[in-house]
Amino acid sequence: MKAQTQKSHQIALSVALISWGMLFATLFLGYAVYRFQMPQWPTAGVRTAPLQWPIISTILVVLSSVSCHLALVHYRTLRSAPFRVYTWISWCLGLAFFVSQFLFWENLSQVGLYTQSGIYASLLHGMTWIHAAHMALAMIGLTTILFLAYRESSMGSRQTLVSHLTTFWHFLGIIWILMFIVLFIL
Amino acid sequence: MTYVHAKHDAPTTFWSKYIVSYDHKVIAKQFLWYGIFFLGVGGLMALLIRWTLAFPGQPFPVIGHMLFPHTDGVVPPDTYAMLFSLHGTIMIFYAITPILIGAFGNYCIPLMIGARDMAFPLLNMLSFHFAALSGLILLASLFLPLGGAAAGWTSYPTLSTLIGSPGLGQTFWCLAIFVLGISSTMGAINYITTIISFRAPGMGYFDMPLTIWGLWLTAILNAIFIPVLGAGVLLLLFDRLFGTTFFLAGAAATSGTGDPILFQHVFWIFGHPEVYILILPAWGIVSDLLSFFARKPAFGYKATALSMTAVTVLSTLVYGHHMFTTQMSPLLTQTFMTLTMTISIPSAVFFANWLGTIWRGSIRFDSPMLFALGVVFVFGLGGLTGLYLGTVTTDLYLHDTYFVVGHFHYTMAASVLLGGFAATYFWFPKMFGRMMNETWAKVHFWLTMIGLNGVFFGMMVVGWGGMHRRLYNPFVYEFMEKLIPMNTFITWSAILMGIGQLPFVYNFIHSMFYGEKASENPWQVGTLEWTLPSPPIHYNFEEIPVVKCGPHEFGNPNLNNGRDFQYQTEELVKGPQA
Repeated sequence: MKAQTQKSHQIALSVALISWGMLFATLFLGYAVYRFQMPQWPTAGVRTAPLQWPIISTILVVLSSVSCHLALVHYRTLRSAPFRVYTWISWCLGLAFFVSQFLFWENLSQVGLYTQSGIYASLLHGMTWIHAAHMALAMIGLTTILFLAYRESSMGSRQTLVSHLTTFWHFLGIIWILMFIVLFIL
Repeated sequence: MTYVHAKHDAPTTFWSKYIVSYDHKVIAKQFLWYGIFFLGVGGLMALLIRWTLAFPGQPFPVIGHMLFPHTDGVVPPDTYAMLFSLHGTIMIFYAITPILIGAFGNYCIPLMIGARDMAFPLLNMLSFHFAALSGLILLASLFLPLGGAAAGWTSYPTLSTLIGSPGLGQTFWCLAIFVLGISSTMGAINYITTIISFRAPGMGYFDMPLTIWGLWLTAILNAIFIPVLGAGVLLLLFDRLFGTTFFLAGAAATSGTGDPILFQHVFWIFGHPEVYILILPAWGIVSDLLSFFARKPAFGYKATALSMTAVTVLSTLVYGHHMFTTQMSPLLTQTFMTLTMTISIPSAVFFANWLGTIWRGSIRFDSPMLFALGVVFVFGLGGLTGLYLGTVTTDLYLHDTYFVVGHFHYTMAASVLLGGFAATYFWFPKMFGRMMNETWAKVHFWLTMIGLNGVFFGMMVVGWGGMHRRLYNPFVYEFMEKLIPMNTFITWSAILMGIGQLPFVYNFIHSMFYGEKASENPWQVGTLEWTLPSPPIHYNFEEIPVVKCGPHEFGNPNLNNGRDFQYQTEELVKGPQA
């Protein structure tokens, strides 16, 4: 029965990830259309986005994915103390990611890349906003897990929740890395 | 392996039973009422549009002065734009979708596959509440200072940007559609998971009723393509709220242009599958009903299921035919045209199967069957006229004319509406435990059929004559004056169709309270929901049924129990030599 429940949850998660994947794929498609239509990128007279905060965000995302995975491993083996530690670390790294994003947006304004500053700036803002909104959802989930981590009785009984949240976290990490490569490197 | 819900007690308070119910049957009824309400709102808008086209400058009767006091009851031009925009939006997203997918999807899936509920009842409840929130946002937009959205149901930029649509109406539209998208995605996740994991033991995919096939394929398309529209409206929302320039162009984009055509691509990548999202459940329902009421097994059951699957796949590859006039490269237009024509093949297969099913059947012309036959007729017409629009050369002339409006009303409105009515008459006894009145149902059918064919065929005629859609008063152009009588005819047909819905409303409400009590299986059909009392108990099945045969076992000559059908829970009766 438990295995079957997990199976239906896995199907649901797969479908949900396909849906989210399509949302982000559409954004990347839009980016490609804009990019390939322009003779010059960024458009003439527009400054390139500073890389400092996106690099920090990327490091934070990778680290948080690692700590989320370790938290899941300890949850599965019912080791509550390290599970709590790694969940706290993930939560803090998630929060730090948000701080880095706010600083990035601030940085964009400082170099004159406002939301109204043309399609290049629109893409930088729009895509990172949508990603951040999903990260906020994931942070709510992580906060819930953090609460559960202090209820000894629930240890091990929320495998599906913890495992799916970890998968979602990894998914958002992969999306961020793709965005980093596409928006800032290529 | 089948997973089953544990049973628990039925809710007892009004709040838990009707407002925050987890029960799929209650949620189905919530979606049904929601859809019928919006059908009324969208229908009234249609009458206002038609009145304006037939009698330009004349006040709308009875309620005109109340609705438009500043123009003495005449629909003003800006309101006209809002009316056709919101009529399309409401009918597609808030009437047809909730009725066929929300109501009958929720009601039929667990009952027809032998499950006690959806896979995720909480998600199911939230799906309705998000839809309700979305409906409220859209309705609220009608009361904004500059009114609701007025850029067409497709909301193409730049018309839908702040330059073309100032005020908050279009912003509310974007928000409402985004929230509704969340609701639909939740529903899709639930439907797909339920059908994969919760089928009764013994029920393979080719033992499922075709209704379930249609709903399943619809859910798959929903899960994949609703987020595409979601991304598009989010970016449009950013353009309107934060000044980004995703879809701005020309003088509107003072600091670097975006691309308005990109929105059209995104819209139709979603929009063409959306046509099938709406129609697949109707196809499934009709495929089942034709078999049930012809008292014959569905002809070519597997071919029908696989054809529907093929259409689902192909529907994702043809969206470009909506954009032949956007200076698309000829190589692309020809590719999209060829792919569009390819859809005719699987469509023709299941259409032929429908005819094969009723051929030499012992047809019972009960109201669900009449409406199902109505779908066969109008879908035939709608499908055939689609060939003209899928062909580049004819589409260049017909694009944006009333021919397009007539065509998509035949396919999306007529087929789906009649399919929805067929489903309502068929499952009403199971839903409410009472029968609807057959005489009123037949009056409803004939008035609707005559009315809708007058409207939609008339639209194609005036479109062929060159009348463009979305014009407030096309008759200011001299060459269109000759189309006034035809437009008057269309409007009277629309009024007939509108009046034709009154028997349905009366019949529905009266039958809920005073209709004849329904037996367990009034239509003598073998699918699983008809093994249950009408209405079914909380949690549907005391014991999960075991499926032993297909859903269309009719007219078996070896049956000797006085019935001409078998329940899916019965072993298939074979002849002595078998």
